[in-house]
Amino acid sequence: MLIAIEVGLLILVPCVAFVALWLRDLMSAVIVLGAYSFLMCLVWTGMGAVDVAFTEAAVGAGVSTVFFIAVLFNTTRNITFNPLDVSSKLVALVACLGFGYVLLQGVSDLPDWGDPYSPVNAGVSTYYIENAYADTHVPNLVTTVLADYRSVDTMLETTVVLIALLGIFMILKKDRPAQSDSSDTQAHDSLIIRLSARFIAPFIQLFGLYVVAHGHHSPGGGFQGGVILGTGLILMAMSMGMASAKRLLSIPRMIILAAVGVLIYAGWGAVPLVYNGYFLDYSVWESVFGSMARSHSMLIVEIGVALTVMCGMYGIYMSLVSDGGMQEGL
Amino acid sequence: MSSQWAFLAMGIPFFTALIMGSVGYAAPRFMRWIGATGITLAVFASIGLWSTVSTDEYVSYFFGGWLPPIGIALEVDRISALMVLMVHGVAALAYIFSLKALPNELPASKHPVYYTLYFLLISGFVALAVTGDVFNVYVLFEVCALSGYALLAMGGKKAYVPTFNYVLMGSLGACFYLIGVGYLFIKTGTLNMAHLADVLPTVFFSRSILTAFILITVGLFVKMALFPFHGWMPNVYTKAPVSTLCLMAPLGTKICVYVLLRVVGYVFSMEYMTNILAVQPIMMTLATLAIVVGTLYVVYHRHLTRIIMFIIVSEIGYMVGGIFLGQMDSVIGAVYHIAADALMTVTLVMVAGVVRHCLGGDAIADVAMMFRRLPTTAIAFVIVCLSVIGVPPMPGFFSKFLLIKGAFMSGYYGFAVALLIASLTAVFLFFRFFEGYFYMKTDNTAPSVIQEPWAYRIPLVVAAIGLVGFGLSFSYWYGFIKLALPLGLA
Amino acid sequence: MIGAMGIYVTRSKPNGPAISSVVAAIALVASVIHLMAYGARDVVDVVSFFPGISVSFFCDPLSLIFAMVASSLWGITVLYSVGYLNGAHEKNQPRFFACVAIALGATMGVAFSANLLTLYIFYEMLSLSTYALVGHHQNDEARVGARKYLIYLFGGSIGLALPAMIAVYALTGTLSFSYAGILPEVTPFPVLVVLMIMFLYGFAKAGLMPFHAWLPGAMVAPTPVSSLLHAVAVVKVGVFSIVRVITGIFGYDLINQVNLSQVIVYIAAFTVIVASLMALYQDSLKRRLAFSTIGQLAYIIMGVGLATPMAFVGGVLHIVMHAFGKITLFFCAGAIYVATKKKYVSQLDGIGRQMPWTMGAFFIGSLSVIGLPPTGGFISKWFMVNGALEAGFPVIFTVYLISSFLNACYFLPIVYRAFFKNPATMDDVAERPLLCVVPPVITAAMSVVLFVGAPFIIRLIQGIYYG
Repeated sequence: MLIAIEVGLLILVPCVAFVALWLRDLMSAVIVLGAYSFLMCLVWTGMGAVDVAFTEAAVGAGVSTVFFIAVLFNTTRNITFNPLDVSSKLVALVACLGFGYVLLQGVSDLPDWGDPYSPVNAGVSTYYIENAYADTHVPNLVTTVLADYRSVDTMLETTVVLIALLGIFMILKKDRPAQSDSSDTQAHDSLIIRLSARFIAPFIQLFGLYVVAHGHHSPGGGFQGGVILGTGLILMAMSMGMASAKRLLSIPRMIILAAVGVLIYAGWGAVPLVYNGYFLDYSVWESVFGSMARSHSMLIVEIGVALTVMCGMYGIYMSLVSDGGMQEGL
Repeated sequence: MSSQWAFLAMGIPFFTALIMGSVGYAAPRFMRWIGATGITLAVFASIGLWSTVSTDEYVSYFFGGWLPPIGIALEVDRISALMVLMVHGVAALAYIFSLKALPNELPASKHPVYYTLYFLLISGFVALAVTGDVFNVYVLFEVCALSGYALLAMGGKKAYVPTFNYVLMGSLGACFYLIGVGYLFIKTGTLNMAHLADVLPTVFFSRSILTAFILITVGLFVKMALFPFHGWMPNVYTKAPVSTLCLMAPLGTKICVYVLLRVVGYVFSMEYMTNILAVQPIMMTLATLAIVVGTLYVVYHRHLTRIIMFIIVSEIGYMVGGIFLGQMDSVIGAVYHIAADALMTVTLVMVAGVVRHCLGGDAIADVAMMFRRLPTTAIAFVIVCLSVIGVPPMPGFFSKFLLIKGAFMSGYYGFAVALLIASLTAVFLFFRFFEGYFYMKTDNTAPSVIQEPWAYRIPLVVAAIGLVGFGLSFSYWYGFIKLALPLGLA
Repeated sequence: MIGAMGIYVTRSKPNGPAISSVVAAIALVASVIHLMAYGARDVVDVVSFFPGISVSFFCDPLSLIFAMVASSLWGITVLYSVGYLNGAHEKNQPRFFACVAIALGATMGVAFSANLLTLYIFYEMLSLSTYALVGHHQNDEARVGARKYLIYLFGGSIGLALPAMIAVYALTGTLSFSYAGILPEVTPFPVLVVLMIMFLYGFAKAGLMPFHAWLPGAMVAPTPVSSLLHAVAVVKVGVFSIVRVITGIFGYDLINQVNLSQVIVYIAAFTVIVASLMALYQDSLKRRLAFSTIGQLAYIIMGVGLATPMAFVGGVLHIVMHAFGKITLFFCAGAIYVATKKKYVSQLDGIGRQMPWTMGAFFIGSLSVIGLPPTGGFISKWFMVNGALEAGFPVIFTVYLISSFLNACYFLPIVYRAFFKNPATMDDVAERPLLCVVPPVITAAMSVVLFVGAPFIIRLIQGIYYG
């Protein structure tokens, strides 16, 4: 039964990908990409990687679709192909086929999927599965690996979100604010949308907070929660119109908050340095939190992650949709 | 705990960046002081790390207190310490230089964000040099690449398209690398470099490992702009602001070469590369071609910045060739050349920047004018030229010496010839600039000497002295690097 | 001590007044004499680079002879250039003297180098510093000459000598000179031949054909430069380097064992004949001298390459004799130019009557270069010719004789014209200035003195050959 579903999904995924490439109307392509992400989300779930699926749903299908639309809003939705430009396509075709061939060659002697004796399952994973709870008192293994065992990777990934925000802001920023954008969007505003958005937004935020806080026990955590929080803000900004959103949360403020988010993470990790311990070694907190030291520390760094991701998502959206034109009051 | 230096070297610029990001908008006035403090401390940390590995030879640092392969570790041997020293040294020079250069290139309102990214980029480079985890390398590639994209795009409208090309190529390279690491992980169940090196020999003859090797090396080749994957590099670097260039051009590609050395020499082992795969001929051909092609372009171009870019293309060929020659001396030469070339490139880029800012262009005629109007810059330029040509006792000579020796010992004469051709071309290239000066028509209305601002002069002088010092202290570095070489080198 | 001296010379970079050059020159000569008296043979390491390679200096009779010649002639040249530069109204004199001083420092460095790497370093330094001297006039002609100079010298040194040096290092693991030779005897013959050819042509300063074209081109430089650098320092550094390589890297034992002499002497012999023939057709006096230099340099290489005691003595002796003889000729050419602005042989009719001292010195100088008594050139040539017979190369013997005849053919007509033809125009030409006349007379006198004093030098050189 499960196999049948998975085979079906695996057939659908490339089909959707081809459709997305085929479409000339970029807006439709973006929507199709969203569908693609949902399918991938199902695939991950089928493989048992619920956290990944969650992220894929929130980021791939959710926020990135919004970003694409925001970009299209300021550019164009139609693309033109140069029909004479066959050679570059041929090169691309050959490169893709070669790449695919290499990948398939490599797949041929990989261990079977789900083989309990494969190196992946017999190696580090065994340690994680057997000792994670004892080490950290956190039931969600994925969170443990992300926020404790390989914590520094997560910190750097959070930094990447910050960098994306900073980069997009810096590239798009114009010195003089554009004049007419905000009034235009407001003109097309509808009461229904505004009211329903206002109604939904608090629940989204609440759910986001839950995901952040409950990441220890169930799928989720700082990244996913941050994205959901950010989506809530974006929804508010969409419905309220540029001008009010700008007053409420300007991008520079977002940047500061995002940097503070990473700073919370790194700062918490840096405390052990004072006691001559290793960076991100949460065990120094045992004198305060007892056996829950690592668990609580993870929560704190997850909050940092969530803050950064939320501000990152919102700030990127605002930069994109306003074409960098809304930075007055710096 | 002396191993703390390993973290501090990457942590100090990281925290500097975060502090800048948090307070930058509130107090833009303090930015340059925060930056100066940060970079000074970072240089101290790198010196501390250097002195530590000088006595201990090896430093490990375990994030979160988890021993590898469970957690992520920093593994610092002497080669990584040299790289850290190089990154921080170059970054310090570039930072001082940017204090004056940046205001010419970017409106002040963007400076806080710019410097935040700048320091994140530095910490990314340093972390790449010290990390002992192949996945961590990927994350750091992202950190470096993303901040690099943003910093490079600051060259204005004409920089956008080349930068976008870079984004595509850079992402492609990182993606190849990631998939390769994925294969490695599936086959071995570990991501730690040392652990991988232990486990890999049991699965050397697997096709997946071969695939992983191909993907990782190709990914790295794209990132380091080795011929024929160099297409993105010259354009994006020429259009970028000089302040960014001072950081990116010397370090961006060089650190990828270092990662290549780590992965090929330590993770896969020289044994795998030379005996089991026997890819040496292919790699040497690529390296030789890179040198030749870079050299041909160098002859063809007329603007200093662009010439520097193609010099980088051919220098990448030197280093890759040195690594894949698999001789003890050639690998030492390659490592030494990574550091030497970083220093040479930063000096060249700074010279080009000064000429561009003070004289308004960097064509041959402008550079020739430099000798008359910017004496300090001119002296630095001459010194760095001698090093690129490979005149003893400049660092460029020694690395070339070792590389050619390695090429002779392993029978790749083509590579040796390519190196010599590159040297000869460099002679004629740079003497074109000298000639431009020497035979310039002198009239009485010749413009007077311009005094470079201190922020230009200090890094130039320091870099020039550093070059000479690095060359003269070659024997020290030779012994220093030798102790950290991968096993199986003759 | 020796190392300190090398550095001292490099740093003695006089800015402006030629007087400091003179002082430095006298100090240098004094220190060389001092060295001669206390003949230290220790190797002094200054900076070591990697196993087997460091910048190090040592001092043996060969280096002493060479250093003595170069430094004493430097002093005389400085005197001469003061006269010449003022007489010819040259610009940028400080740069000129500074570059000459650096070049001399580099020459000293080459002379006292204890290994090939050190020698190479100073060799390159010399190329760079003389580049500016060749292009001193800063006009298009100078540009072409300087560019050619650069292409040949760097092309040779980087393209051939450097890889040859690295190959030697790869083969032996050391680069230190040793009269026993450092190349192992098992080295295959083709490798030896290739290496030898790479060295011969790589040190392009020695001007072996076809790597000679830079030398006539470099004659665009002011005459003191031509005289000192292109008759003495630069070209002799090339020859000296080759001598060092032949004796110190290959070693005579090896050369005699595998009969490498053939390679060396035939290349050199070809150069001797062709250069002498070409010299006949040059009308520009300085170009004629340049081609003559090319031929004479090949003599030296031929002599050293013959690898017999006699020929070796002759070769090394010829470094000295030719230096004094040729510098005299160049000084005279410069003096004529300063006094009359005449550059071509065909213009020299009757000039000997107007400038008797100059042309008298010219006559002695040419005698020395041709190799006729009572000048030093005779002795060195005598040894070389005997050496050729000793080594059993009758062809080379003939080459020596033919080329001596050719030398006479291209020099004596000048003297004849100068003294016995009637001048075309009766300009009011006289000897002037004093500083342009005295130096050639001194060097000419030295050529004669060396004829008498040769045994002393010969004993020094024989000391080298026999251990």
